Amino acid sequence: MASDAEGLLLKVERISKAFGGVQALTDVNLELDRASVHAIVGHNGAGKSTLMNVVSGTVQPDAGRLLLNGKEVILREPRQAQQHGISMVHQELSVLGDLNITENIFLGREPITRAGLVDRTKADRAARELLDRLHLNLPERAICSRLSVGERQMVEIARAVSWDAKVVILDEPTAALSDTEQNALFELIARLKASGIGILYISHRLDEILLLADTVSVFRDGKNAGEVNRGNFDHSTLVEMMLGHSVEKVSSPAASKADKALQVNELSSRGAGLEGITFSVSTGEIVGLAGMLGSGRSELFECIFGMLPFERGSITLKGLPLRIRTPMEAMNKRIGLVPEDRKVQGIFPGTALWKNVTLASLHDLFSNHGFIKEREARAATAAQIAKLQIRAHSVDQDISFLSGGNQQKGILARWILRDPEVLLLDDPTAGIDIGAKTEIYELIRNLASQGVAILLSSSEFDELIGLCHRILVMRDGKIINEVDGSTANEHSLVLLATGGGHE
Amino acid sequence: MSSMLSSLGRQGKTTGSLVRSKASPVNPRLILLAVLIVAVAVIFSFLIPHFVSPNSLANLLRQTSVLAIVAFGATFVIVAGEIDLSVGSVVSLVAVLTAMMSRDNNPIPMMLASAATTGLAIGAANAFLIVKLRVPSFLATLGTLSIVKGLAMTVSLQPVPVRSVDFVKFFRISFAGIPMPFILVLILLGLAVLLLNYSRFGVHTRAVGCNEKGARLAGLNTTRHRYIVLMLGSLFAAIGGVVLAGRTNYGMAQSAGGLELDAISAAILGGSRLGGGIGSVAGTMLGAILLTMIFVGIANMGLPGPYQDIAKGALIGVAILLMRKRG
Repeated sequence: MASDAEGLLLKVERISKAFGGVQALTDVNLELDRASVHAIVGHNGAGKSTLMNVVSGTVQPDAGRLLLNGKEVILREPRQAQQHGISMVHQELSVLGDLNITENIFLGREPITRAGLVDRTKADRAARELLDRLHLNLPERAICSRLSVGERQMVEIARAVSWDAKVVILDEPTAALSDTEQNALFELIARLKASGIGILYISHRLDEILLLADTVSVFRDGKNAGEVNRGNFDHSTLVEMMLGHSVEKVSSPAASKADKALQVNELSSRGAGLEGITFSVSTGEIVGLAGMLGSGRSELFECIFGMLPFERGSITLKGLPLRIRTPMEAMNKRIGLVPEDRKVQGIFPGTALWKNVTLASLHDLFSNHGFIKEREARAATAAQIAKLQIRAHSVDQDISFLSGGNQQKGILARWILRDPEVLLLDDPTAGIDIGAKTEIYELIRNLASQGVAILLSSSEFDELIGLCHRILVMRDGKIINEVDGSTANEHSLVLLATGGGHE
Repeated sequence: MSSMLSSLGRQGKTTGSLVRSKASPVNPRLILLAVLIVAVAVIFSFLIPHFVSPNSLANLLRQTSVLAIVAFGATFVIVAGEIDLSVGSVVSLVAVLTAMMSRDNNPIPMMLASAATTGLAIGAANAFLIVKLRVPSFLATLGTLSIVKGLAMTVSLQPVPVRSVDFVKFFRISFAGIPMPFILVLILLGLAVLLLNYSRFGVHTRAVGCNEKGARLAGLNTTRHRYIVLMLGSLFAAIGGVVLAGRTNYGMAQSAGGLELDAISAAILGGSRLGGGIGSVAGTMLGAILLTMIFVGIANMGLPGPYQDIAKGALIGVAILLMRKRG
């Protein structure tokens, strides 16, 4: 793009990378200028993180090269990248809680006195200077576990800068920050930029990008899908570039809005960060929750399912007040939850499929005075395998060897066995290939037509539009809008959920 | 929990300075432990005549020494996020080997070298299982506990007397009423404090124990570090074995059974966190003294053996609960 050669700091040239058979990056190019913020946007799986891992030396590209100040650099590990002045601030913070700020900043390169001990005075002084330079008002000897998430992130950034950084990569830095912390972060970014550092900024929050970015690169399916400079983009052009093509839409059969299955009134929870949530789901209705990561959608699911407490508000099921304090109580009221992170919260890897499917029912449906009715449980699993077309060799197969889509069908089967009235599906198609997605949509539609009330979240809004009767847009722990599923378009949903639709 | 600990630590700035600089001022836990030690001593002095006398205090220090040395090593291992159950067996094996070697008139440096080699080798074997083969340290060292104990018993089932006169004499020396074994403890305490609190090695040990992946992301060679820590812990146990042989004049294969649990208890009492990241060698020292005082006191009360065990267990439990509430 139109960057003068003087300012060019980092050039990514035709980088490709495949993991197993999956092509994560194809011929990707990127240019980062000195003293600028280059934002990277794209859907999950668009290749943003892989690219950043290549630039920070965590992942080796299959093809292509990196040029820093015009010279090719080969980065075999993060430390090499750091020595070249490229540091990454990870989404999951790697600040060590039991160490103080100084120790974290200089970990592995502590200054040493002549006696061979850590020169704490010198380290503290250097840390203080660094913190002062970044205008961070944190005591250098504060133990990091006592800092807020935002403060820890500042420490992490300070650590990155302490390597005489030329390039700092920030991966979703605001995901866990409060508003004030965000503002502090933006100020810090401005100061880094002023000092000549080039910043690669990954975010899906378009409002931040509008505020910070000098250049925006859009990625789609592991390829460059466009680059625009400041002045040539606004919220809606970015959304268009991100979406690219649209997906064919199938709409769900209309639901009888007759009786409300689940009704949530003015639910607020400080711990979960939810405020005044009110909505209802009728029997046979599919209601979508459109919200980005950190919008509070998973917390809302967990509040309804009894995993998180809430201070105010009420929930009713078929008109009767619900008082749910544990998931077990939720289950007994015939509510089911397919949790957000299938691999961590959903499946039990290393365990047979039948145990995974029947797990939630072993204590009642398949219990014979405390002993498991194994034959019934296996038979029930076999029936579900046939009904949901789960591709597995047998009920004894280890669930972790199934594909993501089949694992998720197994989790759905876990609840279908219990004949649920309400199903909470938290991003059920995340990381699942298109074919399996379509099957899971079909399954969800079938369940709804049998009268199950379904609350469904997704970070891919196009799938909500095809599937849901109504879509609630969530942001910052609030429901900020409700859209009719048949008239919604993805553009406006993304606008709303990313804060572009501010009144 | 840990954050509460350190927040208390911050307020404790005015209270004397035992070990640490103003960055991490004296842990209030240390003061509480000291108070607990005095309280237990006072209680026992009412129950047992002459419990607090120069003689019995010197005896107490002598009795503490092996436990304290082993517990110093355990502190490093625990701070690094591991656990080593084999140290008691290492103490026994080294004590037996040391006694055997003295019988064959080997020079003392040779006895010490073989003790150190034994400790380091067992530590390296543990580390191989834990780091390389990824066996959880609890299980890996449960296995070596049994193997090393068996080895010690194949060497000799009978108590082996120490025949080196110089060796025995050395452990009989005392300065200003402080017996030699405890002087060694104080020297090792100083070294361990320097190592854990003031050296790179110590910072990295805490980093590895706090979050191994994070430490690796920061560029530390966590594999090598875990090896070294586990070998160090075992080396401390070997030193404990030498001191045990010197203090008692005997090497016995069954002499230090269960010592690993006492060592872990001492470290936990002293403020180490099971799971890693936090620990204090000075705290471990006080923890070892408190535990030994309980052992000695209960034994002196003339209770039958089984009651001793019950009382000992209950007292350790109470002490740990007390420390937890305050901590």
